[in-house]
Amino acid sequence: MRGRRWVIAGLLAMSLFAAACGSDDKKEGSSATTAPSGGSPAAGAATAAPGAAPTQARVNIKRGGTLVVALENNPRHFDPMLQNDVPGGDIVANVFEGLYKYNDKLEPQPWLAEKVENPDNLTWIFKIRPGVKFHDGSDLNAEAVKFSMDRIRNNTAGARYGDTRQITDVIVVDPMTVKVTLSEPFAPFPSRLTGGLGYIVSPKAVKDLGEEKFNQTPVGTGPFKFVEFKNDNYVKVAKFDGYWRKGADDKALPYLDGIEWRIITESTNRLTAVQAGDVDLIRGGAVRDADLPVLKKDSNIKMDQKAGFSFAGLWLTTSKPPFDNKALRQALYHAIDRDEVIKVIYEGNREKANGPIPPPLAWARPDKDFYPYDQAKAKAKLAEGGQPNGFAFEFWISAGDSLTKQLAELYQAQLKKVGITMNIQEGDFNGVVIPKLQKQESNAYALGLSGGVDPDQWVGNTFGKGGTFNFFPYENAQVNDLIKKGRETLNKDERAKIYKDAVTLIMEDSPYIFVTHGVDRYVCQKKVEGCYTGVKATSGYSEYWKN
Amino acid sequence: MSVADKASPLATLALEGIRPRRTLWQWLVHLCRRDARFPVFTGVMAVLFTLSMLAPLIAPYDPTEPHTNKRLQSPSWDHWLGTDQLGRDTFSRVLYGGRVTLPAGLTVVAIAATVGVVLGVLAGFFGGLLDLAIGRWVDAQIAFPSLLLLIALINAFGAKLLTVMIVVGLVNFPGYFRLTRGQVLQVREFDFVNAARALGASTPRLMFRHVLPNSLNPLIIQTSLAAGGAVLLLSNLSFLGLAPKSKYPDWGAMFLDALTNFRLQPWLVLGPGLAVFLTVLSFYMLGDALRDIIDPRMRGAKH
Repeated sequence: MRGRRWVIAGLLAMSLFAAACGSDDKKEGSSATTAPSGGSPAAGAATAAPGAAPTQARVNIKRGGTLVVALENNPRHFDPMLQNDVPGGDIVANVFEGLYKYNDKLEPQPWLAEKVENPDNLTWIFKIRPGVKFHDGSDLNAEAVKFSMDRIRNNTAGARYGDTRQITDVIVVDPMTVKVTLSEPFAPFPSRLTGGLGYIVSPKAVKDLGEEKFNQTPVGTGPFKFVEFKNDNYVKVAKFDGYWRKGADDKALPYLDGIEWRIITESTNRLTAVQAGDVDLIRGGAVRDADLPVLKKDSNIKMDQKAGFSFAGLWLTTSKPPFDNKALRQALYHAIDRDEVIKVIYEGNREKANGPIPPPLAWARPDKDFYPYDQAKAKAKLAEGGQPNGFAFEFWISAGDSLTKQLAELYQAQLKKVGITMNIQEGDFNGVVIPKLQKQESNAYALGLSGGVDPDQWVGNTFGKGGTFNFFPYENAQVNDLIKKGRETLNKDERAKIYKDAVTLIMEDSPYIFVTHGVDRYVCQKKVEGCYTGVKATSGYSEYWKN
Repeated sequence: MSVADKASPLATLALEGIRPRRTLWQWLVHLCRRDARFPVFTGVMAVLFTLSMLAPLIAPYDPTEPHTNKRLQSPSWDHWLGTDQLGRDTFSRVLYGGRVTLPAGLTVVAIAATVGVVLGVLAGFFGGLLDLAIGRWVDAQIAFPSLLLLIALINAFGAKLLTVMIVVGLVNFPGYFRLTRGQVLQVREFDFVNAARALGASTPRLMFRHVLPNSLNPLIIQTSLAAGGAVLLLSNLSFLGLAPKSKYPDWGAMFLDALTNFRLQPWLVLGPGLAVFLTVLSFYMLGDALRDIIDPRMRGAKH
């Protein structure tokens, strides 16, 4: 049953990856969904009024050409009902569009839904945008929206099923109006409709092709239509001529003729390919910290990065000694020098974590360092926990991940200074480490989470009672109340206070030692226009163009 | 080395006819004279082993203690092979790494050789159903890609040092088995074996006293070549993340770390790379030299 919940977890657009951001290299790509890939942010100049001509005209946009993007792994699914991996998310975001889309401020804005009404806090009425066509020529309408949502609601094994928990009914009111009723007030609902659950598929294509074939050749309303996937080789999509949005030159988007994703699993090969000009763009975890200095020197390449939607650190099992003891957990926190970790392991390219909510959601984060590095305080906490001379524990990491191993060895050396002995254990990530975590068999694990744009995903799913990722296990009645309140409250300021309070309580209990937040970055040929970091980067490539 | 076997004087005579009797020392001197590679690479091996075994005495730094203010340094007087990502001295780590890699390599060869030779002698000597059974088993095992088999077995039994050594040893025994069986098939037909049997030598005695010693030459060569292969294979496994877990780094794992930081500090690969290179080269060269000296067909051949 646990395994099943794991899958569901993916849907909530939160998933696990090997914490150390060794994840950066492999694990993230293979097993995680970053929030942004689920939810597509607003794109480019047309953010404020999708479809309308942008206010600020760009000079001399050059149309045509194929954008080549490096992928670190094979995508697993193209059907939004099943897709929950990072490589798949990049393709799905170009073929499909959601009812909502994030703008630059990470606020979900109506997208395929033109207007949204809330007669009460359980009812959502969506007016569907007229004149939008699927790649197979059929029209977007209320039936298609109902079809797409019901398909996900009925597929209990699908990657997005968990997102449908609050939905009681989806009703077609008229050909262009859909009403969705919920069982409880749920503020993060629009966030969920930016991707996954919100992606609208062509009912005609699903019926004509059958479920299995549809997953191989998806049909949506996005700017690019699917062409071909060759395993271990490439994914190709081509410009969709009937796309509804216009570009800065007042002609239909997209600017590009097509996109080709090349699957290059070895990070050094990706680096060489972008330096040689074979690849136009590498994103996110596919670029290693150790490669940045080399890329910075390359005059044909531009790059940018900022804090992303993930955290990494030490996951503790709180149901058995030593970490059933709060003071000992706090001692561990004070004994870990996060600045040193960032400098030594990540070449300075990370932000210090002070809780689960990542830096892009600054509005919901308490601005406080709860556990500054302090050996004296760590020793005091050890004494308070009844272990003045320190204690020993097991720390599990994913085998074969060089960076995670070095991270663990650094933790080990730091903890030794206050008398805590960390025994590093290595095992296969999915076969050994995850099952041990789920069964609460050992003491601590190098494991982080990546997730979505709503703070509820960061707090509720992980630290709430019955949460999908609550394997500590952690339970605090006050936190549970706050999570419930956060879901019922629509006002952003009130929600901000709720989540700040919840995080403060969680930090006091410290079931998890938050060390760093992940980084979102791109490396891009200078001739390519439109490379972004942040949620925007995952919104698809409709407004990218090549000089 | 004297073969004073009163029960079978004929067999002793036969043995002496095949291989001139020498003391170990004389034999070594003979080997050194015959082929310059022998003393040179024995010397290299001896140095590598001695340095590794004496690592706690001669390593200038603690191989596990991070010094994060001195990370990723190039080779210098203080750090002969530079420092790694956590600022640990690469030279010290290479020395300690030898303590993991070298004994593990030799143990693997010992396991593979013992299993292969014993089964090979049995199969070759008795033939029949036993030969058929072991032979088919070995065929099946060889047909399976060995690295794949290793990965499967190590994942099944866990990457503990002893487990990995046993598994790697067992995966590598077919070579010894085939070689031994072939030799035994040949040698058991020699007259001196029949003579010994006629004199009433027991079967185990025939097998291990008469047949096996006269089949040894190719095995010595094989062992030397395989030791190099084993060190390489263990480093490969470690590189793939299937290494035996130990407190100290082995050369394969160090190489993996070095590769991660290759763009920042290319010198890092030098230490573990050179260590593996020298070890494997030495074993191969020794095997090659032994073959040239021992194999009658190679006698007098120019190297």
